[in-house]
Amino acid sequence: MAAGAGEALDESAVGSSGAGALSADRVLTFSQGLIGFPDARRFALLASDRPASPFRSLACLDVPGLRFVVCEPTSVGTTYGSEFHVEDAAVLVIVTVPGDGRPMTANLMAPLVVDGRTGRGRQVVLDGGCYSTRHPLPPVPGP
Amino acid sequence: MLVLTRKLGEVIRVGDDVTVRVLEVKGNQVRLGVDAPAEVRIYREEVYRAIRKENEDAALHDAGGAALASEVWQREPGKH
Repeated sequence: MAAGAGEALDESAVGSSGAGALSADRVLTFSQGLIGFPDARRFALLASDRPASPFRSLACLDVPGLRFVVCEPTSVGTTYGSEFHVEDAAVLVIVTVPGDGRPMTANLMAPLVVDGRTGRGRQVVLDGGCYSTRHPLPPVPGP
Repeated sequence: MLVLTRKLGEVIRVGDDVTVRVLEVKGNQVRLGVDAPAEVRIYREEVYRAIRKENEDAALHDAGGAALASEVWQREPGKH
């Protein structure tokens, strides 16, 4: 029976990899694209544009101009526990940046889970009720 | 839309590899069992739509991307 989620994280792999281990020259492949974007399969994960910024661009190689802002879940105060069963898992969450000044949010319900060794990943849906599609980003610490 | 009527225990087959079985009917709730290959994703429709919408809202179609997010984040310390 296919479920789409219900995979647990290999704890020993978390500390040694994580999305920080996905170097900027990696091409990530989502064989089924992202939800609502079935043709967007190959992406380049670009380095942060500023040294202290947790945000990276996930730029689609298949659809010109299409890109997403992503960051690691820890940057928004979340650690996934046993939801994924992927060796060497790197997890990224997609950040929504409203153009009208409304707060930025992260989609914690549908993270991108990537196998750090192969670069293959998928958007996993965690609809058990624990995670929001619009988790507010924590404020930046003041000076 | 193809409309079929099924009784408890009966099955619908979608394509060659997916079946949907009516497991239980209780009031206005129907429990369905879906059998499909692992690569076929199955979602509650409202969840799928919410995620698709969020992906669409998050999608950028220009070069703004992460630079925009960093600027917003750093421009307003203490709030967003």
